[in-house]
Amino acid sequence: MSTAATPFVHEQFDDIEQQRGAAQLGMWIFLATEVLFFGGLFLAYTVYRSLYPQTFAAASHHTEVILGGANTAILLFSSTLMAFAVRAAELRNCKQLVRLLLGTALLGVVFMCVKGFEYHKDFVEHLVPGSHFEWHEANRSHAEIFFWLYFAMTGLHAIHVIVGIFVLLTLAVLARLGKFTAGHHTPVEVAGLYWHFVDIVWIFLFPLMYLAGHR
Amino acid sequence: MMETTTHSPSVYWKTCAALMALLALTWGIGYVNMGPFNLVVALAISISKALLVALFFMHIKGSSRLLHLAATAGVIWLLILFTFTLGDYFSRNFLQPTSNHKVPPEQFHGAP
Repeated sequence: MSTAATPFVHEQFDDIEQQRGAAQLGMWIFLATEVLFFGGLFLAYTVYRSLYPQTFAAASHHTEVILGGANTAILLFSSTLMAFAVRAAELRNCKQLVRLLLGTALLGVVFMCVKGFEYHKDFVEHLVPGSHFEWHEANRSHAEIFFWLYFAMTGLHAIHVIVGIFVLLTLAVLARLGKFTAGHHTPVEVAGLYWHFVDIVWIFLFPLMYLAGHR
Repeated sequence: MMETTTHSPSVYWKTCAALMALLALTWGIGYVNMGPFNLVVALAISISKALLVALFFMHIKGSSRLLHLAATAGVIWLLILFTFTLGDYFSRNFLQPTSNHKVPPEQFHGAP
């Protein structure tokens, strides 16, 4: 009989450390595929911005830089809370873990509310590409490409934030039941990696979308 | 004594403070006209922020070489994607067809 046998170790692993290492590696490989998933859109942005730099700068002026900047701060702070959540799980502090997970999820919700408010404003100002798109400056179709990329990239990011919020809420419920404070906290750790990745994507989206050219 | 793989609280607070300071810096230079350097500086700051998050929040600092490899792999493939595609886009005008090699318009449009 193995001495390392605990109720958390699945049969294909020797011990909890090996299982944890496998989970982390799996998450990092998934994140590498996510880098390329977003990478395609970042590449499209790079190509079109290099072709139409003036129009991209002009179109960028129509985004809400205050809200975008505030949202960056919100996500950076939520990432900090997530890092503390992983630490709380490792130190087996159940109460603090639940609070930090809920806090991180709440900041995610605040981010989405701000983003939703921005989308509404863009919609009212006819900045959504399509038949209702209105552009009173030069190069309408180039501006439309900017907004196409703006909605595709921030939209794809928003979907990731929403998924993250549900993951965090699920973890908070399980943490409340004491699932991660009895010697097995890998799910919290791995979800943390995902949340930090989503934060990194926004770190690049903020200057590219809101501060193209200069204001 | 429990062994921890996470960092101490002060590391997380310092990382958070550095990230917020860099955000303020990006925001600030967004209002200064530096020509093409606006983009260069903004990207340099974004890369620094991403590194801070990866090193300290995602614990790349202090993790195994295998995880370093997996984390770098995504970035390397991204660079390959960018290098080859941009190499194509930026070199398209390098070879201008000379008048001798031009296809006559009627032939080009498939007219008899």
